[in-house]
Amino acid sequence: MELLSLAAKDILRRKAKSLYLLAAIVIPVAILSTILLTLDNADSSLSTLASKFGFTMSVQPKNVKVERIDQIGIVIGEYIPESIIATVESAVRSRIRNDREPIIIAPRLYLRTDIRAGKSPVNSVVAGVDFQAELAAKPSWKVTSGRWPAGESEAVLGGTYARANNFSEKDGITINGREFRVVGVLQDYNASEDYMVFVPFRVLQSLSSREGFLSLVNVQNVSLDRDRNLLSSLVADLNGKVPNIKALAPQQFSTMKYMLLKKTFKFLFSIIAATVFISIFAIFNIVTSVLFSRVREIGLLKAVGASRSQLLAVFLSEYAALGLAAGIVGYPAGMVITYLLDSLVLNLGAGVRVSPAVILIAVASGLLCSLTASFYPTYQLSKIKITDSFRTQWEV
Amino acid sequence: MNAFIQTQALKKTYQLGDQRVEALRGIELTIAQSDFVVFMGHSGSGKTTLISTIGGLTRPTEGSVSIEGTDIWRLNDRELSAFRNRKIGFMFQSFSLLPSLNVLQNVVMPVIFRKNGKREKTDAIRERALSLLAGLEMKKKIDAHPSELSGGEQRRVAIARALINEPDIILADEPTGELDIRTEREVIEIFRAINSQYRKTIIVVSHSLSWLESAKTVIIMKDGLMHLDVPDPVEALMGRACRP
Repeated sequence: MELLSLAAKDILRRKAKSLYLLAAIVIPVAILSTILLTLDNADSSLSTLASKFGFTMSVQPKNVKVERIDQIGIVIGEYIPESIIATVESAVRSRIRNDREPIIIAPRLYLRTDIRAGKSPVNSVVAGVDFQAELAAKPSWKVTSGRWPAGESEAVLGGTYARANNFSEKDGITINGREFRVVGVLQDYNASEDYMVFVPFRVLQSLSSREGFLSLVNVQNVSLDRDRNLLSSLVADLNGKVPNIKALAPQQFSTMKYMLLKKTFKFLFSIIAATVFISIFAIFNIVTSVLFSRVREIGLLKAVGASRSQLLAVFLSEYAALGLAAGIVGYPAGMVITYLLDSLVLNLGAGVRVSPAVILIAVASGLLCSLTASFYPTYQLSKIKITDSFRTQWEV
Repeated sequence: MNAFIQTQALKKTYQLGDQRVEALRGIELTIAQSDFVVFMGHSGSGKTTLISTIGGLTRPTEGSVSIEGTDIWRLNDRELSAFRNRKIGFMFQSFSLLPSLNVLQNVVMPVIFRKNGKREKTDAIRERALSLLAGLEMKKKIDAHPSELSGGEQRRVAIARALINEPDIILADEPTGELDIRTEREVIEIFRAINSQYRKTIIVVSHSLSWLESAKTVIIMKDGLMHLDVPDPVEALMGRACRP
């Protein structure tokens, strides 16, 4: 039998009190894990959304409100002159060092209209796009069946849109009186594009009588992707100098959102710090009351030869074990709370991932809480006089 | 007499509120190795304080306690703990056993605090504990917990634990308190056997007169002073005069 097994046997003997103490440590650990996991999920969710968008920057009409990152790139009913393409390209070109570096400019025109396919009309969002530029910017954009449009009268459908309306490749559809053949159905991306119909940009301009206008321009450039400061200055410059447009960078937007979330959590962290402090105080009280009820036991251990350091080793290892267990229990508890918080309130949609860093922090904070709270009472009681310990159960 | 244990001008004063209580008033005591000493006296006479001071449990206000030439109150906490662990086996009236441990674990418990405890093989310690428990007729109950034992059985386990580190001295404070006469007799016989067979120095504090015939030395404590060679301890305890 060794010192640690003595500690283990004490934990097992006082099951109810040990569980009570464990619960007191689990609470701050679970709350801390929840905050860290939610921040991690928020970061991951916003980055996923930003990368799903596929472009570095989007320029759209000024009076279109964008409150969420997944709203970037969708503009219906508002238009800007096509001359913006040259303005944007020139602004980007003036900032990047390599003249040969490609700048992908992908204009889009959106139109809400009824689409006929021999049945009743389906109110739909039609996107006029430059397929070549879109595919160059978003290599991950794929058709699950069929191919990409090659002619002016060919269209592809968003995956969800095709399924919802029972459309498939080779079907014929009519948009504003013009016949199109569906040549492909897009893969689902869990984005608004899953619900759209895509036709060539110039064709939609003509069909909607919006020649010389577009809904937005998406831009992609490697240098801007790499250098956030460069991107920020370009966005600020365009917004400041070109009237009636709004330049938005999804990465910047996601960072902004993340920072906002982080700021909110900073505030929450101060509440957590207070919670942890109160928890430590509660643990301190529990430990003190448990230890004082064991005064005679401490006296007996000292009488048979336990030194103060050996007593500290026995009792602190007991509380360290509970802190460790609380860390191990607190992390999954935090995962469950994070999942519920996301499902019911935040809707970040990134799912709850296992984070080794948060596991480490959870275990370390469990240990820290239990050892911080138990050290002082343990130290004080290790100094108790043996004869005093036998005289009284509750007073030192 | 060879001074195995020696106290010099031993004083202990307790401050109880405004009152100063002199529990020991300059005790000069010499105990030889293998002696069997019984301290008797009324409650508050200072006998428990005296053996606590000799056992390294209560620090004296003045004076010294020397065991085998070591002034134990000059040792630091670690040294004194190790000294107690190695040299002295304790037995207390109540709460002698840890409730979380079974009989065998309670007996071997002092070994884990021994500085070279890890070096001794677990099997050897277990064998010694089993042998001690067999000698005390407790071998069948090695897996029982203290709550499952009678008062007499608990004392036997405490005796085995006091002997596990093979100490030279056994200090027992009211080892037969709250026991029936038959069990008290059995416990006293065990102490006598330990003293004669293992040549351990035994120091017992008790109110019970049953110890008188087993003890080699009887010391009567009264008002913080000790009285040796009392011709009739019973008379002395009844309040008749005795020689300091």
